[in-house]
Amino acid sequence: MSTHVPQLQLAEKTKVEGRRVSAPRFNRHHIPMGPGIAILLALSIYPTIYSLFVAFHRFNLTDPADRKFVGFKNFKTILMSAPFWHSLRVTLVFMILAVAIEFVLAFALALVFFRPMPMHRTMRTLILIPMLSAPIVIGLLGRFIFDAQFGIVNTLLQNLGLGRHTFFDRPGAAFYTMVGMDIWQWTPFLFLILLAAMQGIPEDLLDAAKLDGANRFKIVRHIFVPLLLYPILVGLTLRVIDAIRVYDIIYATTRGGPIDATSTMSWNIYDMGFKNFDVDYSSAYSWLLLIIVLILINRFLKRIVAHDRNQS
Amino acid sequence: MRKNNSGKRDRTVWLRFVIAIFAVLFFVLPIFWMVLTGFKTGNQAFSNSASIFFKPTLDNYRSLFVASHYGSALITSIEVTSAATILALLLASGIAYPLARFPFKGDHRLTAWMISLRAVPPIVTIIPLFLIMRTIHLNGTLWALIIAYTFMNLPLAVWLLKGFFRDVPREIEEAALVDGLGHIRVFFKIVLPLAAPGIAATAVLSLMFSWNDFLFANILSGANTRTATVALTEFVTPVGTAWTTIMAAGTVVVLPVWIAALAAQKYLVRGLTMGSVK
Repeated sequence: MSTHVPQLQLAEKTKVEGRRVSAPRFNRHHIPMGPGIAILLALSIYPTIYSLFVAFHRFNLTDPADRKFVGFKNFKTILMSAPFWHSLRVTLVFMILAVAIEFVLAFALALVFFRPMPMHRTMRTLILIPMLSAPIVIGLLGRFIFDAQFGIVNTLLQNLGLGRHTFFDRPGAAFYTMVGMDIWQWTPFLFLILLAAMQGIPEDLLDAAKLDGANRFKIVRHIFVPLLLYPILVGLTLRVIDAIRVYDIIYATTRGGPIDATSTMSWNIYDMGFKNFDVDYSSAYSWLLLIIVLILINRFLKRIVAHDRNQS
Repeated sequence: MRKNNSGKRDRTVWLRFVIAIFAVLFFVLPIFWMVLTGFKTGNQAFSNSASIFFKPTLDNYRSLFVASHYGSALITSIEVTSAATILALLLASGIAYPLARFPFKGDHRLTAWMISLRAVPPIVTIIPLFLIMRTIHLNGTLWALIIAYTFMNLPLAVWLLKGFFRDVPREIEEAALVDGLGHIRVFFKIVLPLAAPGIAATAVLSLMFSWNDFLFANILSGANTRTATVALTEFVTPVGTAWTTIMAAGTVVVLPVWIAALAAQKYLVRGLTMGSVK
């Protein structure tokens, strides 16, 4: 025993070191990485520097002569403006509300689909349809079916005796309609992740838990949740990233309105840059958005990278 | 014990089935309504009853492909999407294979950087990209979109392909190396065919993200290079909105993605989940 254990440790150690020592730095095997990395660098570093340059200058597209250096003035103007803080709130509330509801619905739905039933595969495939469809199409479709006059939703509500409603004309309603559209389109995505992960749980584990007398709730709480932690982490990270960038459905429906109820940060940046041509403000604003996103998901990203490292 | 278990499962199966049916209806009916409306006349679509049974017409599709330039927008979409996907796969393979097989000091930093690129909101990228494209006179050309989509798809493609390449048994590659094949031939003759399903899934996802994109296309495309998603919004005019035509056009946009996704379904899960589930 006593001689065996150190040997094992030694073997493992040399293996780990061997992996690192065999190819410690770049060599000819890494040459194929060149073109791809070059493109990624060119299209991320250069725009980054350019964007910083613009953010620190006066830069309106309609006036190419005026490019004065203004320091932090653009950032200051934005941080002092009420619309920025309003949009930050709209974006965060939208993201938290949509992703939380999507997660609960998707988890419940995945539990429904966990065990076989008639038409299992067909139904699972059909549920994926929303997330495969272009968001701009979904936005236009939403505008069509929620229309105050001829929308099918209103027709159905009226037939059910619930009266007609306007979904896009009142600030509160418009915001929740937007959240609803996001939930409709992206719950299937989390459902797909969670279901696939649940089906990867070893069957013996579940049988053993049942033998020990665990009820359904306990099985979900003590087996599903811990084993699904990594897929949940990846799924939520991707959803948070994409909920923050929501743009297409707003373009197709409310265009940030009514007043500014659905004016997310992405929409605000677009509006400043391509309607007022104040590219300087929108660049500074972009930096603030980027910083917020990175703060929000930094820890998630770190854990995903650490997980990936353990796998190789 | 097993019998007992399966008996328990059977009791819930009908309840679960009913919930599942409602879920399917919830997620499919709006899309069904879109496809249906695409075959209606204006009068049928705006009559105040939710008619499912009506005499279908192809007028909307006719006005789409004969009376408007939607066909050329679709061709633009096909060109841009396929060029960007091929480029992304080529460049990403070049990065992913060495990352999967020849680790080097600091490789995880490269991976981390690439994943963080996935997190950058496109609106942040689009403004400097637009200004740069304008400076080098690429705005409104197919290349502007091809470059933008290649860049957009690269990080995800690298991440996915790295996982698929890592799954190819190392022993097969080593045997081929012993047999005297060079690394390049090992990659093309052995790794590539074995990783083919994964590469196909990566291609489908890359196609889907470029095809469905609206933001980049809306800002970077010109009058002659509008993609299908941009052309779609042009049926919404201040004078009026050709809703039945839009629903037909929307059907044309989503159909190819459904078919491609269905074909690659088995590997799509892994692709969409960035490999978090195998």
